Amino acid sequence: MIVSVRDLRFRYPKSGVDVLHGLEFDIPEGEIFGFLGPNGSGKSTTQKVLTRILPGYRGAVQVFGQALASQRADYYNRIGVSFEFPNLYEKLTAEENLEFYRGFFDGPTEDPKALLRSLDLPVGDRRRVAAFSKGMKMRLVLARSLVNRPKLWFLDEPTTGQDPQHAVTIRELIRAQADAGVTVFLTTHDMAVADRLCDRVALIHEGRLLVVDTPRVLKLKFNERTVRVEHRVSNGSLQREDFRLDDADSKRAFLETVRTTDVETIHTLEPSLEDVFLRLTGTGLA
Amino acid sequence: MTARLLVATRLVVTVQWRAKFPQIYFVIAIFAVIVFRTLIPAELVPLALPAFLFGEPGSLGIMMVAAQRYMERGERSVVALAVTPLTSGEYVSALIFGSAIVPTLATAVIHVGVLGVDLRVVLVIPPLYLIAVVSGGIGLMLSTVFTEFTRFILGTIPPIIVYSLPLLSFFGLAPFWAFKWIPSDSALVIFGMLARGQFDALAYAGSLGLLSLFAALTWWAAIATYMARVRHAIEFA
Repeated sequence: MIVSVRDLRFRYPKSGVDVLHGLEFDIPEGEIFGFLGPNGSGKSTTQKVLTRILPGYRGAVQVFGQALASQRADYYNRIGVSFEFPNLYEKLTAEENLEFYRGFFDGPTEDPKALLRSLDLPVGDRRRVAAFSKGMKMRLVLARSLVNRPKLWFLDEPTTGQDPQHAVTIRELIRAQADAGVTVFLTTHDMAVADRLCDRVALIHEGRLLVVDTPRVLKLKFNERTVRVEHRVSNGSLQREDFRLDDADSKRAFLETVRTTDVETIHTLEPSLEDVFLRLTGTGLA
Repeated sequence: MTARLLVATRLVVTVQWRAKFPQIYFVIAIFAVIVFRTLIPAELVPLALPAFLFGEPGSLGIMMVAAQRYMERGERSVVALAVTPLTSGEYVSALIFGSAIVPTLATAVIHVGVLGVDLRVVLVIPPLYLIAVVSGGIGLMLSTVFTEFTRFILGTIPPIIVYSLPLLSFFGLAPFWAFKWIPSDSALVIFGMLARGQFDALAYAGSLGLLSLFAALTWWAAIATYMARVRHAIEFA
């Protein structure tokens, strides 16, 4: 396992209550592990503990087979961290930001120009980062997190502020890194991103882990096996009907509807990850 | 470690250059030279110049390091450094030692502009740099303790007053042994000798002055580090 977490608890200084309550999960090498929950659920705190930004946690956390508490500065040579907000030197250019940053690492590093190209950022642009849009800044933060060729990549809301085209670029990059053996810890409340990318997801709510499994298993677990059919009736109006496939009468009615009416659409109504979360907690993810 | 420290120092200097810190320093330096050459009578230069020399990297140094810290806090760029092998000690060293380069050179320009080019140019740089380092440390500490700029400005007043107390000794108004523990005291002694051209005494007294300055620096650094730790000040652990 690249990451192994047992009974992780955390309390901010000067706070009387824990914000993480006994989290337990494992992440094998090369997996894209989604950490899903609404704002304030403890996602970012967990990432900050795992990246050693927040010390003082309780529980047993191992990364790369070694206790996190005993990891030293060399740990950062092996991980990459992309934050949920743009935290760049705004008076420097994009390339300068990457060049300075890669100077802090010991091992082989990526060519900044190649990283910029891979995220559709301008190469040779003399503009300072302050002049960039939020989407460009976030992509630069993402590029910076790859500069040291990490084995474990922490991503916090990586598609924030991106247009659909760049969101696809980012998803493809994440998938390519995982295919190359990089383990990805993806923190997000964007269900679409999690559903498309993650090998497994953990749902967290109020600092407690609700469930850990693949998106498909989670969706099937809460699936009511229902089909929705839209068809035209004799007066020309559109009618919508739901058929439960677990019920024999309903299944017969579905087949009869398909056979005898002018069907326009048929959809299975398996739940989304958001529906799963809603059913587990009674609250949404936004 | 050395390579990372160099990169971090280069980063500090580059960011300050883009923020026009050096340009501001040199404009002030040129203005000071003009004032000294046109308004200050020659007989007052040995008293006025040392006071100005420790004031430029001193009070301005506090402001510049603090300005960089507030800028980094606004950009949140320092958080990104916290997830690299760069340690907090390397970051603080780069910030303080890197920030001291420009004020030292700018103040040396004032020295040369007023007294001309001779051996004194070489001799004035070490104490200037040390004063700039101490000021940077004070700026770092105050900007960490006070997260709002207005409170920071108020916070700078006590150290600047303490920092200026050795002027009382220097001008012969109120000599007091405890002033020796204020880094500006030794610097003033050295600057005074240089301004008066006392080269004979300088070799001996200058060495003692530098030793005394180092001792005071260590003392102040210990206090600053203690305060920073007590306040959990340096957010990047």
